[in-house]
Amino acid sequence: MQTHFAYRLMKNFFLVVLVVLAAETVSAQETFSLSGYVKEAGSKELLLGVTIYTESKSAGTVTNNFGYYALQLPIGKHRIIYNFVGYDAVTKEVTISGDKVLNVDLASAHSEIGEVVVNASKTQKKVSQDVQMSTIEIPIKTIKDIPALFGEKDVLKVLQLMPGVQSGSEGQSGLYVRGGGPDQNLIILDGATVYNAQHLFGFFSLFNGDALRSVELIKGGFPARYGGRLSSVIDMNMKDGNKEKVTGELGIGVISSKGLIEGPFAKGKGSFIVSGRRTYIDVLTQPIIRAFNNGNSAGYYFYDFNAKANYEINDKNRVYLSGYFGRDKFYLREKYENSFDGQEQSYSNRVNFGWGNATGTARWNHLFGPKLFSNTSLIYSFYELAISAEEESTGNSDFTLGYGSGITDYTLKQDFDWYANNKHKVKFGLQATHHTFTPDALVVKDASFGLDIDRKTQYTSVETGLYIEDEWKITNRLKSLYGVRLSTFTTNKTTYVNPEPRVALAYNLKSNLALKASYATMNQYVHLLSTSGVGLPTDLWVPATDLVKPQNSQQVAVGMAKDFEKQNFSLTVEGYYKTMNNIIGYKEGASFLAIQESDEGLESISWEENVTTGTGTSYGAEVLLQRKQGRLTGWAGYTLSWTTHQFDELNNGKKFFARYDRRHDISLVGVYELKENITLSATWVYGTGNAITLPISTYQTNALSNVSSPSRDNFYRANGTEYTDRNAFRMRAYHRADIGVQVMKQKKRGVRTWEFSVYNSYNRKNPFYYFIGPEEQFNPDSKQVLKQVSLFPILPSVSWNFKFN
Amino acid sequence: MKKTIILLVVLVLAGCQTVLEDVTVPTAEVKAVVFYSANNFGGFANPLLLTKTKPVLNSSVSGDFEKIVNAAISLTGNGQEVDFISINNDYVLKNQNFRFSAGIEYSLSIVTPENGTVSGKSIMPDSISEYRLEVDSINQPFEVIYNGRLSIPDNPNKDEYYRVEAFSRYDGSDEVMYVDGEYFSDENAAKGSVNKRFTTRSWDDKNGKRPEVYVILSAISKDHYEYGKALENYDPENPFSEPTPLPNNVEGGLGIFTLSNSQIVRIK
Repeated sequence: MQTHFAYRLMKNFFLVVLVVLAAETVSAQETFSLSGYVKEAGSKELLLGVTIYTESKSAGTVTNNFGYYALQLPIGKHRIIYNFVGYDAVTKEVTISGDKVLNVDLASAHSEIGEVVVNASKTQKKVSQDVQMSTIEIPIKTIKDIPALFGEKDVLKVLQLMPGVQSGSEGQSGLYVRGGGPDQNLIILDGATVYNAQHLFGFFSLFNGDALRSVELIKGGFPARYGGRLSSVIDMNMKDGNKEKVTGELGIGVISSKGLIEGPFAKGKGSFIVSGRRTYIDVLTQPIIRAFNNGNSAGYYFYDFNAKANYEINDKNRVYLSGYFGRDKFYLREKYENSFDGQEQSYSNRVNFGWGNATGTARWNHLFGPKLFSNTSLIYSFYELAISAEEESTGNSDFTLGYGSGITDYTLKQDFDWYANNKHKVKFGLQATHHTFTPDALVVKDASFGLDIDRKTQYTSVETGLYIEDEWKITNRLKSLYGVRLSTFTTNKTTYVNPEPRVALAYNLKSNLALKASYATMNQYVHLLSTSGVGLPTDLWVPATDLVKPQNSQQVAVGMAKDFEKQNFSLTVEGYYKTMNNIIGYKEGASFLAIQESDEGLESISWEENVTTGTGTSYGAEVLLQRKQGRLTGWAGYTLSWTTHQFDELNNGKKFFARYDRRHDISLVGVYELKENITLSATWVYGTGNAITLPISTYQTNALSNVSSPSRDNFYRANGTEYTDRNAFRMRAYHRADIGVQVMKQKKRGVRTWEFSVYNSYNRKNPFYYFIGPEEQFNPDSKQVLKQVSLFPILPSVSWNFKFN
Repeated sequence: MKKTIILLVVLVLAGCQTVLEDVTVPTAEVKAVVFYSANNFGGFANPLLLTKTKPVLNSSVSGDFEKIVNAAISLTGNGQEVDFISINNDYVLKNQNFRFSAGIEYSLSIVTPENGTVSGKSIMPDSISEYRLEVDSINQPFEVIYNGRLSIPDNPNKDEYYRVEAFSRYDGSDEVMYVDGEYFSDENAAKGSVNKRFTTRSWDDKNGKRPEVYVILSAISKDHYEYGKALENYDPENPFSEPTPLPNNVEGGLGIFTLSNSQIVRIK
């Protein structure tokens, strides 16, 4: 019944869009298409999000994710302006007498050594003209300019500096958007979903800023083309590669080095880009570890690798191949040998703990005509956690342990951009993903204990999304982005079908002032089971099943956007209210590696039995004052928010604050071009402390044994703990200032940049976690006090980069 | 380079721990904690454990938990009422002839001198009337491993909870044997029966003599089951995991009052 209703709704929506379009087509005067691609002068990189409009402002559009645009213009002469933040605006005069193709190159406003020429034509993109709200675009240059932990530039940590987006614990790159968990963010890299976007337990994100072309964050009012997560979309696109010449970059930092090479092939019709990064903590610390550990070794490293190639077959067809591969690995190697009673004895142990992502995307762009742009994608995405241990010792049987979990996706996606007329820009398409979830795979072999376990739990499911959205310029002042997505998820026994209506409205009170409102329903068919809430790789991705329902949310947002054109400032103020249903958590006491014995022997406890579902509510207000152009750029952001959860089986059913509920969150970011070759940068962040649960008393437990024996209470004699209500205690507030300076110099073969930065410059001891311990360390009778563990004191870092000409 | 790394490590470690003196911490009232598990074995009754909680902040937690003495404790149900008496600060039933009947609710009432009144209720579960138990043993040097396979018909109209315990008897003295997978329920019942595997071990005594081994099979309450499962997974020291309070089923304090319908089987 629900399915039937959902399909009928979708069909009716298509009909409404067609009727609206047909009515306006009948009344419209004859127009022709002006279409083409906008590229960066020099590298010929396609530019997305470029604003294109007629001087009279009678028609306007922006380039899509592949740099393509189309405008419908009446016969006659027109002056067309191409404008993009960080680039010199270009004005073209065109005479329209039929469909016309016009490809345009935009030159960067920054010279090679970072000079910004302040020019009236270089205004920033107007937020008051954009119908979509709750959306933030981060210029890649900003990511590179902002000081970072150990100098490692991090896309996700820059996003944390935006209002409505919060970090988890100290140094973590997980994102908590408008009260949602880190699993509720759809992170996509060239169309491929990235499931675990973190290196080193979240201290660094996967994304190497050098290889990225664009980053966009959507917190609410989601367009219908996106689906599958409740709280945000982080859409990242990799660079295509320089089509004109071979060039590259090298970087050496405190903990890692990186390299990038890009260039043309096939006579400028194609280009490629390859970049990679690896840490060397393990290499640097190996001599010390060996010296203190009898020659045994242990270490940790991560690496990532991005590659992309594109080829322009002809004016109507382009193909792209891109991929990402990254891995984190901890390892331990121990070997001991000795002689006992004349017999040689040995013991060896090999432990590996690794996790990693891989994505691959093949895309084909095709122009069916100037008005209809098509993109077909075949996408692969993979995430895996693997733990292994092997132990060999003389006289004992070998012990082997292997544990793994992961998710593999294959996606086929077809998207269309239909530039129907100047009032309607329609996007529609279909996406189908085949998921294979492996919540756990366990191998344990130990002959001495009779252990021989080899089992794997796997689920397969198919997720689809059929969508249509229309950006409709209703009047000169009123615009709408409305649409619907029909999402389905099929497991073994159940098919979930959910229509997801979306609408955003913007009304311009003045040319630089708009009131906005949006509504979005989202469904999420994958869950992340987390024991810790700090984003460890041991968190499991699991699907919605017959028992565990999909998560869903509804979000309403209202706000205003104002551009201060003379000062190059924009101001947005938004309020939101979001409800979330069927969010899941472990039942109290459950864990990810739970094993029990069943009819068939040792088996994992089904994760479905370990979880409990609840609801969440988040509401708040956000203010963002931003300047993207000029010698001084940056922003000031403030968030006031409340996030609560309610689970029948947790906290006695009472509502409680989410761990990362943050009443106040402030970010100040400034980048100043002191001279043409010197950039200064600084950030300051403040956040209300995390909500945690504190133990308040301890008590003696009992095994409740039925055995009449004095030994019966020897088992389970752990003391019980009585806690405050869940998350009823606040950690201390978090605040920190980072500063940095970049010094560039033009050399014969390129530009060299030295960067000096200081993380946590005033050495604030921020809370990472709290624990209770004795006041005097070695006195067992000492009173117990509350202690705080901080992670990062003041941390200076230096890095060297070279960008080849 | 070595010196730089050592300096960095020292800097990080020195800066990482702080005692929070300027933070107002929550205070806790001292509560009574009761654990009482009775079963249907004629004349046998486990002692009732009655202690006090200790605040964990701004006081020492070393030493034993203080027992509550001079408490007035009574158990009622099925027309019977019996008091507890204190023997060496443990409380036991005054009248060992108190009988528990399946399906009947029993009430426990404790009035303490300083920590208020604690009360609890528990229903005696139905006995396990039918079951199939198979045990294989593996002889090892100094020990015997017992792999048990238990099958109990499932009542689809009722949620049922079970516990398997084991003990060994050496010259009349009993020792508890650890059972791997002690608590189970009918949640995963298949084809009309609850199936369960468990493992336990007995150790040879110092003379190499093997003991008699017994299994106690009990129908238990949901509260007992949830408490037992929570205790198995209990890890209050992990700062990264969400705190997991142990379940309680008594009013006015902490702890568990539960009844088990048990039977003892000797493994031959």
